[in-house]
Amino acid sequence: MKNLKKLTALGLAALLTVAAAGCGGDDEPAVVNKGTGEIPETLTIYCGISGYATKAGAKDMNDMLPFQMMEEFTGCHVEWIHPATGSEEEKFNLTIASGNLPDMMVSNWKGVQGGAKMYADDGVIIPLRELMEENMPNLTAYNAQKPHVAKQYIDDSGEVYYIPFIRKDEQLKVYQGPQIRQDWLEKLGLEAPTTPDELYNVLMAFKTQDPNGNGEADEIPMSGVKFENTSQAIGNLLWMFGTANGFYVENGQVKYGVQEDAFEEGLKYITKLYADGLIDKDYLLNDRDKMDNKFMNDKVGFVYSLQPGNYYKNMNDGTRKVTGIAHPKAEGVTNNVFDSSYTQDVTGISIAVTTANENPSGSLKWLDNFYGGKGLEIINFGKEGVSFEYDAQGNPKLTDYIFNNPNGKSQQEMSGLSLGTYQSNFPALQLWSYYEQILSPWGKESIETWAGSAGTDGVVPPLSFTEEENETIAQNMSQIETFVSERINKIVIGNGSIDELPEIREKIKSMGIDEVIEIYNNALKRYNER
Amino acid sequence: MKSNNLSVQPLHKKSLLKRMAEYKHIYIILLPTLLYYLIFKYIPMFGNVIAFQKYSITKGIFESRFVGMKNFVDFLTNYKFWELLRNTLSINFYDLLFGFPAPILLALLLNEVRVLWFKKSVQTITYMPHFISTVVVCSLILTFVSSDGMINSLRALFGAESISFMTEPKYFYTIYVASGIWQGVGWGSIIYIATMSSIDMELYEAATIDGAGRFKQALYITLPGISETIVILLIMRVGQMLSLGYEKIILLYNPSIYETADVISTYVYRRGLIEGDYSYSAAVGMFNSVINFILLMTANTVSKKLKGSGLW
Repeated sequence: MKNLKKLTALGLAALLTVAAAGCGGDDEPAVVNKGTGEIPETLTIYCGISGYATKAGAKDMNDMLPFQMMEEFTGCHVEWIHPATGSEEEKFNLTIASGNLPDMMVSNWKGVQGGAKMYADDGVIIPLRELMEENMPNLTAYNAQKPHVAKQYIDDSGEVYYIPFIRKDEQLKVYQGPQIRQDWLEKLGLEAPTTPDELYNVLMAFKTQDPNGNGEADEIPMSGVKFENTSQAIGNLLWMFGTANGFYVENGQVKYGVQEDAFEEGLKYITKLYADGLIDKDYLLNDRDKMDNKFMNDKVGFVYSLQPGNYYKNMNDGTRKVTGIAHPKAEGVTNNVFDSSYTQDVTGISIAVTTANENPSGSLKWLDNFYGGKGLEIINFGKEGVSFEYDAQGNPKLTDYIFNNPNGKSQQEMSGLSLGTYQSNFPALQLWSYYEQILSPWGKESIETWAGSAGTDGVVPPLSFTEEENETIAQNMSQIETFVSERINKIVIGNGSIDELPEIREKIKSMGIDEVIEIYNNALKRYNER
Repeated sequence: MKSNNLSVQPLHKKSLLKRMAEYKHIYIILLPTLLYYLIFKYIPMFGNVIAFQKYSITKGIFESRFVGMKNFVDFLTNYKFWELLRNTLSINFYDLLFGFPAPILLALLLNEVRVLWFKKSVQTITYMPHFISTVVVCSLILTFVSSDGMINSLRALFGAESISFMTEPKYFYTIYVASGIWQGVGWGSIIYIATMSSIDMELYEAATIDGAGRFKQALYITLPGISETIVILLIMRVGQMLSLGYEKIILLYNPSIYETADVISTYVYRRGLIEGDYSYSAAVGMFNSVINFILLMTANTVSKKLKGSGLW
């Protein structure tokens, strides 16, 4: 009932706006007004704000050092429209349905429902390829230098609908993976596992040999969360077998995990781990916080998660040690990581220019400062003499303003306030040179280990689909994903059997998985021809 | 039309207007409520038109493509349809069967307590959970039933094995209904206690003289005394049969127990708000409301036949 009310309210809002907008008459193809080409004095931008910045007291992105500096540098004042945390999608939809559009909108345009092109076709945002090349020299130069990055957001027809957040350096792409209690390994005289069997043995030792030394067999060798989450999912164990819970590429063909033999092997392995008590009995009830709590209370020995910065902060007492291990793999497997962040330089966060913007060229000129020149330093490092100083070699070094803030704010909060790309919520070119300075030693070490051991050729590149294709995918996958998630989780906890897999495969065939795989294959072909 | 009406029944019309003028203050007081229903309940109903469309937020209601009954057909032929309907009805049925009488029993018991401080403290303690937010209640529940939680620790004392309650589909109904009773029993009993206090004391005195004990008094005086209230609350409860709150279930469930825990409203939530398929979930929501309406009408008619009184 409540939902219905919300939906009808949304419908009503849409009804009113369309009635209002209807007078404009918008059947003829929109002629893009390029504007003056001068950086405007003010811009209104819709954008989610960094969580750590709000924690540290920022009400608005103008309270953040890099954006204050940027205003000073470019002379453009930005009026921000921030959605409340947790209702971003609702606010985004309402903003568009209301017809009262800001000049630019930051959102996940890459993964937006229906695709960014639909929003352009329906007159919400404007195509940017030409404008970008005319007004964004920094970004255009970067694209020319790294065509494989440009390919990730220039679509099949060569058009651009949004300017994305770009991770400049390889290390920035690697921030999650398997990690282990190094001190437990050392205590039991074990080596870091490199294959599924070795991992099994290590976990078994964690379970039986009391590595936390409290005399009780209360260790949970591995913890995690349910399959459909990504970073912490126990389903990441499938990677070792060269498969994943979802779509991936093998020999140039798109595959859907469940349908493959490797998946069966991987699922058997996970089921065995669970049955032997090596995986958290409550993994289905976990979220990241619950999992981290168990980990930091010396209960858990092995997880897949984000780099261990948080563990370092809470566990670094000289006796405990957490570190990333090389991505393990079974014999004969080459692709052992199916996390798209490992290969994608471009993140989902991106900015689009709306049809309400009177000066698109000037707006893009302003935006170009986030991709090169002096602005690059401002957005990544903040303000000289406050958040960073140049060292003897002339490299910017973050100061104690960040690390030991006199006002008692945490390093994360200060990073959120002072480093514009820290939580990647506004499009810019992110630099490793600042990020490595705020990484904990455990985090840095883990990232190096993961980067050196990841076979990422199986990751599906950022494809673009037509509206029709999107509709089919949404309709079929909605059923398939719920069904698969329910059955797979049940098999793992022993409420179902691995013998049901053929039946599950048949069932998702009847739900149209083959049709979706074909759409993916066609899109992949188009992507490769870009 | 207006003038026509006036010419046909001028007397009646005039008298209504006259009456309205006479009691204008009362009508003015009524106005905000009428407006509330008009603006927030009736006008938004037109938004239901998106259930027959392929609604796109960029096109809006007028330009979205009409697809007829497609969304309804998709839902009714979905492999989850029967499961969702069964769960929605079953959870409600058990909630009605055990959850509805619970506050009545508590009220009857409390009514017999003569030690005032004891009665008051029991009331206060049982009200308490009502004021805890659903989010907190659910995380309490999850902690209680986890593999090293309170319930399993108690079981361990008696040497029983630990059960993973939240991953076994068969426990979900019980957990949902029992926790609902725990949270709502005290609050729900207030209205019955209030009604009981209005029962004429002379009836009890007469019964005592006739030799009726405490149990007989409760059975033949207290219970009939609150029966009107019970019936009205029951009808309203039946009318909500399908509109099960989704917050609590979403906070409790996980994929391995979708079989018993996934209900229509949680499905609408996932399809509509998470996957952004507004038309489809509007169709499902509309289906839900229609069934609700039918149930409410049925309950009211049955009550009128049996007791001679209903909601209207």
